[in-house]
Amino acid sequence: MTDILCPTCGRPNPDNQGSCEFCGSPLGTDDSSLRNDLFPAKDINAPGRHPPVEPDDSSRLDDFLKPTEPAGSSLRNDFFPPEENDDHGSLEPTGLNDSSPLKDFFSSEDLGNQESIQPTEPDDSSRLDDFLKPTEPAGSSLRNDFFPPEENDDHGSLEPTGLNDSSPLKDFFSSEDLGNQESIQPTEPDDSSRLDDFLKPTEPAGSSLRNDFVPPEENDVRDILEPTGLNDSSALKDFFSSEDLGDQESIQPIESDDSSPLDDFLSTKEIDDQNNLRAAGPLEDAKPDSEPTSFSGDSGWLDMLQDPNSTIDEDQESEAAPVSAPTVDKPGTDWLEKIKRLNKSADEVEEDSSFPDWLSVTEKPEGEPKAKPEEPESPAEDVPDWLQLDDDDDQLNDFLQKKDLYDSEIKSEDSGETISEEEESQAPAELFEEGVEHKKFPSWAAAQDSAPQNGAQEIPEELQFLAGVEPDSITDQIVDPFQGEEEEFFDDLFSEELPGWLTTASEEGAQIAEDEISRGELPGWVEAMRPVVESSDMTGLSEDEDYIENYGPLAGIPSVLPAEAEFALDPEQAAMKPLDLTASKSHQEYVNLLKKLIGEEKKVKPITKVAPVQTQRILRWLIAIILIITIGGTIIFGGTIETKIPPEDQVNSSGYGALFNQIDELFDGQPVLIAFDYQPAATAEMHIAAASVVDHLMEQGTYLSFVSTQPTGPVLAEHFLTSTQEKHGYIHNQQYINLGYLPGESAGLVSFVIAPKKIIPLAFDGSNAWGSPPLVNVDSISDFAMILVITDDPNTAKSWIEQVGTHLKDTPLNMVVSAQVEPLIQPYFRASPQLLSGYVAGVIHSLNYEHLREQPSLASTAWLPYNIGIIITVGTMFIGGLANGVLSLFSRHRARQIGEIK
Amino acid sequence: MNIKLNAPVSTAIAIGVGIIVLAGYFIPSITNIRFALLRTGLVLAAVALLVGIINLLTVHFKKLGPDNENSGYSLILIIALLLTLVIGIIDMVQSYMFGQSNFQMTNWIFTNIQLPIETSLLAVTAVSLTYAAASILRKRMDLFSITFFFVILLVLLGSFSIPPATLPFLHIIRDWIVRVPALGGARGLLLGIALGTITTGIRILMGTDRPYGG
Repeated sequence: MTDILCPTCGRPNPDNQGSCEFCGSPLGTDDSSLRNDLFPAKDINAPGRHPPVEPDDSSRLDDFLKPTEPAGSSLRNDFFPPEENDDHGSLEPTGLNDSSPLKDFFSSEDLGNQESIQPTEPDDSSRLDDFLKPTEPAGSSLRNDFFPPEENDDHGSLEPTGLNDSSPLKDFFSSEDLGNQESIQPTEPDDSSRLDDFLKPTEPAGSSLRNDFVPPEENDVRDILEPTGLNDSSALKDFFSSEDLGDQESIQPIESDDSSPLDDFLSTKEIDDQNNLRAAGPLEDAKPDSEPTSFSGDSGWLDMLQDPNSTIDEDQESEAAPVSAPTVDKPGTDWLEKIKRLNKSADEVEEDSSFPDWLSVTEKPEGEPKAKPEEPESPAEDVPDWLQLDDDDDQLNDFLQKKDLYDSEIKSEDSGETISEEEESQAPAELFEEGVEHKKFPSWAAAQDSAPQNGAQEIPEELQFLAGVEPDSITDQIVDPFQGEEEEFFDDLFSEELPGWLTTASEEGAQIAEDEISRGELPGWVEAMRPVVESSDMTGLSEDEDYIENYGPLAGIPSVLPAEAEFALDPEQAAMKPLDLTASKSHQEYVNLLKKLIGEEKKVKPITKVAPVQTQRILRWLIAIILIITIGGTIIFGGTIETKIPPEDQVNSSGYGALFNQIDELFDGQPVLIAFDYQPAATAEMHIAAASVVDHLMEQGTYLSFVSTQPTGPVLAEHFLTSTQEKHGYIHNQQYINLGYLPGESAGLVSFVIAPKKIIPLAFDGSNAWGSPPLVNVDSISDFAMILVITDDPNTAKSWIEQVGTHLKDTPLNMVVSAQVEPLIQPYFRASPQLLSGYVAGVIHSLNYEHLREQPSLASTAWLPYNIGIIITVGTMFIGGLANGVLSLFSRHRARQIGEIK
Repeated sequence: MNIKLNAPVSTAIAIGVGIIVLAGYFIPSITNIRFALLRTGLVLAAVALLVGIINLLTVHFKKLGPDNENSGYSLILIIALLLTLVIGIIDMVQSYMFGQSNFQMTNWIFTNIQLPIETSLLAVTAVSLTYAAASILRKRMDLFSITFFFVILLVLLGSFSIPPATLPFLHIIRDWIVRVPALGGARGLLLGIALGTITTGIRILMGTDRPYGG
C-alpha cells in the first residue's frame, strides 16, 4: 500500500521490501524514528484496537504543559487552522489564504484532495498547543514551514497546489523530483535522529520541542495528506507543492495509542479506513472549550506515555520494535520520507547557501553530528584573533552550558511548571547545540524507542518520566524519585499539596539519617587517643585524682566532672582533704571569735537582778522620817528666835528694802493692785513671804484690789486674807475688792493694762468691781498706786514685768516671790530703768522685811523650823551624797579590777 | 468641690490679729482695735477653759468601767469636779442672789482639801529633791555633778541663819552665787526666752508656724 523510504538513500521502496532497492540498505526495521515509536505500525490500520486513554491522564500532562504556552503563539493553531473545523467530523483545511504558513498548509481552498483529515480532539489539540506554543516563535514555526496548508479539494489526499511563492523552500522543493507520487516513507527509528538533524538546525532558539516530533509522518499520511492548492507564500507550502504528492492519496492519520502531541494532528486512523482524509483540522478552534470530537478516545496518547507499561506492552505485543528490527509494515509518512530523501539527495549536491540547514532532512550518520560542533570554526576564521575562542573559552562555554542545564534541572525538580518551561525553552537550545544527539530528544518520544535501554541511557533524566521509562527497567540507575514514581510524581505535581516524591524522599532521607545516627560509635582513631590510666591501687586513681569516668565516651579519662551528684561522695573524706589555704594570725583570731560568738549564743545567761530599789526606798523613807520629825518638832516645840538685823547697805541694795520704802510711802485709800498668781502648793512659803508686805499695806490703809491670772487665785486671796490678815479685819468691797480671775495670761494682762474696768467689770462675788471709791478714778492700771505681784512662778513674774511693767508710768511694780524665782526677777530689779521696783524673795527676805518693820510675823515664826529643815536637808544631802560618792568610787574600782582580771 | 477653708482662714485670722496687736504697741490710734481683739481673746480663753473642763469630764467618763484598772480615780475626779462645780454654782448664786460674802463653801473646800493636798505634794517634792541630790554622785560621778552637789550645799548653808551657827562667809558665798552666776544665768536665760519669743511671733505672723492648727 505504501512505500518505504530508504533511510540511506531516501528513495521509496515497497513496503514488503526488506532492503532498499536502490542502495541495498535495510529498510526501516531498525528505524527508531520518533514517529514510528509514537505511532506503532500495528495500530495504523486498526484504530479500534487502540485502547482509549483516560482523559484524566492526558489532562494532567495538559495542565502541566499549559502554563508554558505564550498567548497567541500556538504551534497547533498554526498547524491546524481553526477554520478547518467547519467540517463535521473532519478537518478540511480550506481557504488557507492567510499568511500563516500552517494555515496555508492546511488551507482547504488549495487542497485538491477532498480527503479530510480527521480532526483531532479539541482537548488534546489544545493540550498540545499548550505544550508547543511557548516554544514556538510567533509566525515562524518550523511546523508551519514543514506542514504548509494543503488544499483538500480532493477528498483523500492533500496535494500542494498552487505553489506560487518564491520562497527558498519552494525553490528547493521545486528542484527536487517532485514528479514521483510516492508517498512519504515514514521515518525509521534512525530517521528520527535524522529528522532531528533536519529540524534542529532550522529551529530557532526557543522554538517548540514539538517541532522535533512533528515531521515524521506515518506511511498513510503520505496517501492521505497531500498538500494541494498551496497558494500562499509559505515556504512549507512551496515545499509540499514541490513534493510528489500527486497520487491523491489521502494522508491517513496514524492511530496511535499514545498521546503524542502530534496525535491530535495525526490521530486520523479512522479516516484512514475511510480513505477519506481531510486536511488537518482547524486547530485554532480546537480550544479547550470547544466541543470534543469523536476522536476523543485517542487523544490520551500523551497520557499513555505517562504509563509506560501500557504503552510498551502494547508496543511489544504489536511490533516489539527493537532497535535492530525494522518495521516493514509500519505505515509511514511518505511525504516525510520524500523530504528526507530529497534532502539526502540534496546533500549530494551542493546546497544552496540560502537553503536553511534545518531543511537538511537527509539522514546523516551518527557520527556526523559530532562534526557539527566544529562548524563554528569556519566562521571563526573570519573573526579576528582576539575574538576567536580559545580552549579556555570553549571550556568556559561548556561550563556555562552545563551550568544552565544544571540550573534547569534544578528548576525542573522544584516544580512541575518549571519543568515544562525548562524543557521547552532549553531543549531546542540544546538540540541546536548538540545536533542530532538523542540526549535532548523528547523523552516521551524516546520512550517509544525500540531500544529502550539505550533510550533510557540517552534521554536526560529529567525527561525520562516523559519517555515512559520504567524505573525497574533501569537497574543500574540510582533511585530517583522522579523516575521511580512517575505516576505519583505527576499526581503530586498537579496537586496543590506538597509533592509526594518530595515527602517520600524526605522521609527516606530522614530514616536513613536516623539509621546512620543510631550507629554512632567512637571512631578508632578517637579510641586510640583515649588516655591510658596507670594507677597502682585497685581503684585506678592516682594520688591527685579522685574520680575516673567509667561510662560513656569519656570512660577511663580521669579528672572528669562526674555526672552523679556531689553528695554521693563521702563528706568526711572530702573534709579531710588538705586545704592549701594559708590563714594568717588575724584570720585565726577571726575564726576563734566567730566560734566564740556562736558558742556563746547557746549559753543561757542568768539575769542578775540588782536591788537598788530597796535601798532607795529605805533611804527615801529614812529621809522622810527625819524631815517630818525635825520640822514637826521644831514647829511644835520651836517657838521664835531672835535674828540679826541685816546691814543697812544690804537693805538699801536689796529688793525688800526698796519695797519697804515704797509701801512705807503709801497712804490711806490709795488703790493697790495685788496679784495672787501662785499655786496652792506654794501657799506656805508665799504666805510667809507676803504676810509682812500685805500687812504693811494694810497698815498703810491702802485699798486692796485682788486679781489673779490663776483660776485658784481669787480663793487664795481670800484664804490669804482670812489666814494671815485676819487681824486687820478688811471688808470686801469696802477695803479691798477681789476682782477674780483674769483669763488669757499675757493677753489678759495686756487687756487689763489698757482697760481694767472693761476687762473685769464685776468682782469675784458679782458685785461692781469698780464702784468703790478708791477704784472710781482708776481707768487704767497706771492709776493704781502700787502693783504687787505675789507669785512663785518665774514666767508669771516675767509676764507681769514685761506686759504690765512697761505700761506703768509712776506706779511701782513690786513682787513677792518664792526663793526660786529670785534669780530670774533680779535682773529686772537691777536693771536701769528698773522694771521691778522691789521684791521680797522667800522666807529670808520676809524675815528681813519684818526686821525692817520691827514687827515679827510669820517669817520669824517659821524661821527656826525653816533653818532646821535646811540643816537636815543639807546634812542628808551631804551624807547621802558622800556615801553615794564613795560607793561609786568603790564600784568603779571594783569594775576596773574585774575588767583587768577579764 | 471640696474646698478646705480651715487652714487658710485660721491662718489669715491669726496673722491679721497678730499684726494688729503688734502694731498697737507702736501706733496709738489703733489701740481700740487692739483692745477689742485682746478682749475677744480673753473670752475665747475663758471658753477654752470651760471646754477643757468638759473634755476632762468626758475623758474620765469614758474611762469608767470594769475593764479599766484606774476607773476609780476617774470616778473620784468626776465626783470632785461635779461637787466643786455645784458648790461653786451655789456660792455664786448665794453671792449674786443673796449677797452673801466671799464663797465660804468654796473657800472651805480649797482650804481643807486642795491646799493641804498640794502642799503635801510639794513637801514630798522637797524630800525627793533631797534624795536626788544625795544620790547624784552615785549615778554620775563627774565634775558637773560634784559641782552641782556642792553648790546646793553652799546655798542651803548660806540660807541658814541661826545666829549661833551662822557662818558669815557662807552668806557671802551665797550672795555672790545668787548675784553673779545665778544672775548671769538668769539674764542669759531671759535673753534666750526673749529671742525665742520674737522668733515664734515672727513665725506665727508669717504663717510658718501654726500652733492653732491648719
